[in-house]
Amino acid sequence: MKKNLLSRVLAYLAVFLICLAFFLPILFAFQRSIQKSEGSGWPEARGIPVGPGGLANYAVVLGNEDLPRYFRNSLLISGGTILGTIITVIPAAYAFSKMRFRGKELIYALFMIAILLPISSMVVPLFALIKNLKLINNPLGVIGPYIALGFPYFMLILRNFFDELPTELIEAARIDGCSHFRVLLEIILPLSKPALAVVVLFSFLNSWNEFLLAFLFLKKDIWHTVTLAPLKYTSQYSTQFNLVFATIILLAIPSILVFFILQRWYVRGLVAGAIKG
Amino acid sequence: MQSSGIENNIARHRGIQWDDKVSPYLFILPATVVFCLFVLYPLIYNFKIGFYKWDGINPVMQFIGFDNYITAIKDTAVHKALKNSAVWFFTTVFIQATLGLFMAVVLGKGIRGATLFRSIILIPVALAPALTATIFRIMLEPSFGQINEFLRGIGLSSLAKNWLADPGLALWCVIIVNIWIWTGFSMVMYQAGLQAIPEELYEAAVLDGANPWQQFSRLTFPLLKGTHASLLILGAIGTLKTFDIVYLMTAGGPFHASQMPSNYIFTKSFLESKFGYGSALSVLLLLVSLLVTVIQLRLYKKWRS
Repeated sequence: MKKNLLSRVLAYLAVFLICLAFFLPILFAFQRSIQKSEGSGWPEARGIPVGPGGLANYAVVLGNEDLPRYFRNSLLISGGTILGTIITVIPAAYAFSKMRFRGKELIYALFMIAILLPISSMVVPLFALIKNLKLINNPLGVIGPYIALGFPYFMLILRNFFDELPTELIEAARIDGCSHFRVLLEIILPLSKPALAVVVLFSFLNSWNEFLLAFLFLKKDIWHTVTLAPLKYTSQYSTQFNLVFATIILLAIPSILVFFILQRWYVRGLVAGAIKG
Repeated sequence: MQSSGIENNIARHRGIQWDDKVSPYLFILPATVVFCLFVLYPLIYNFKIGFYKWDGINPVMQFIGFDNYITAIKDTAVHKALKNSAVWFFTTVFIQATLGLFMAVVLGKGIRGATLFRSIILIPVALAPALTATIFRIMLEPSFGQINEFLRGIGLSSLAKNWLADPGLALWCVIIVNIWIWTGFSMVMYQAGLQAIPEELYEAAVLDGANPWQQFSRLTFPLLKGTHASLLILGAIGTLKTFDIVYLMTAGGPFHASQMPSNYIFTKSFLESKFGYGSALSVLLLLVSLLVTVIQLRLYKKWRS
């Protein structure tokens, strides 16, 4: 009994220390974000804003006219990616799960290749392609690849989910003269909310947090996204790390918020992908 | 009335037949278009550019056969990137899995504050790696960075280093950041794996007199082998994919000390404008990814049976 208690205390202590180590960087970032700018004489003279210290630093950073644009661009791109992913993946997953057609498993296997592709191994031809399509500095230039690179995984999740739905449901509707399109829209979709939540959350996180393609294809300031913002701020605020950190914390809030609101779908998504994957 | 009913039925039947034959292809059309345009075409185009010398701007490409591949095989930076990948893979997968499993098991026992602890480990998963990398780069900055400030504050000035510029430390710093980001992911994967183990097995083990450690080592750990395998595969692919944190923290330096495959492809292609060489490297990276995945899937199947 004593030994049991001791091991419990030790386990608890270890958990506490691990969490402390994981939380420390965030604490450091926050602590720095509310510090005063040191030697505030020269930056102000050069037109660089100065952090007055405390939460007022956030007011300085919020006054930066670029900030809303980063959020708007990321929102537009994530929204477009989510929409495009849903349109692409739902009918395809339905077809692979519930319909019979020639070459089905072959095409499915081909799509699945994209799951293992590192984006970096596609950047050169993608860059040439996006350039030829005149989609550099156009949100569609990143939305397209985001959909393409994400959908095989989502198709896997959705197909597994659709496989569990009884086929009789569909056959009954088909005998009543329902087209496949209506079956999908009126019977399957309302039953698929959990799987759809997973798709929405993951395609949001993937597109919102992506850096490489955004960095390469969105050259102009006006299209820069949340992940590109630090590059700008680290030069704009010079060595005013307090303001850089205040900005980064603001930039980080939306994805963390969305993640924690939809956290249980994250777990379910991983389970769904991992079990049959 | 009767006959028109039959005709209706026939017409409807034809409609269904048509629907059955054509709909599948219509349904996979959007996916196919997106796939061909943004995955298949770049994949094939990669092979082509790999045989050329091309700066990415000049419309004329010079055919040089296998030269890019020969250069790649002899390139010491490539060797370094592969060696670093091996180090990266083994350390990150091992540490992330160990920490993740420990947290999942202990927090699964319903200790007080479990939700809070879990949330802390999960914050980095939701954070964009580009933001994380910036935070850590500044924290590791030698003169103003909090890490050195902290070390000096507790009287350990001798441990304050120029972290990211030190060839012996740069890779480890980036690896630690990777662990910071992905431990939460391992934890959730194990959490899911643990939920799939039936409670009765533990009850039986307790009846047989198994202590908590025996329950873990003889029951929990082996039953989680599906999760172990998934994390190994994802870890390998993740290692080859990793770019943001490497580029933004060290850019692969100093002197390729923290060079990684994705970052090297990016550097060659876009910073040095050697698109042909970059493509050849991409093809090689693809082959390595494919090989690694095939090997691991084999192991995976072996483990599962």
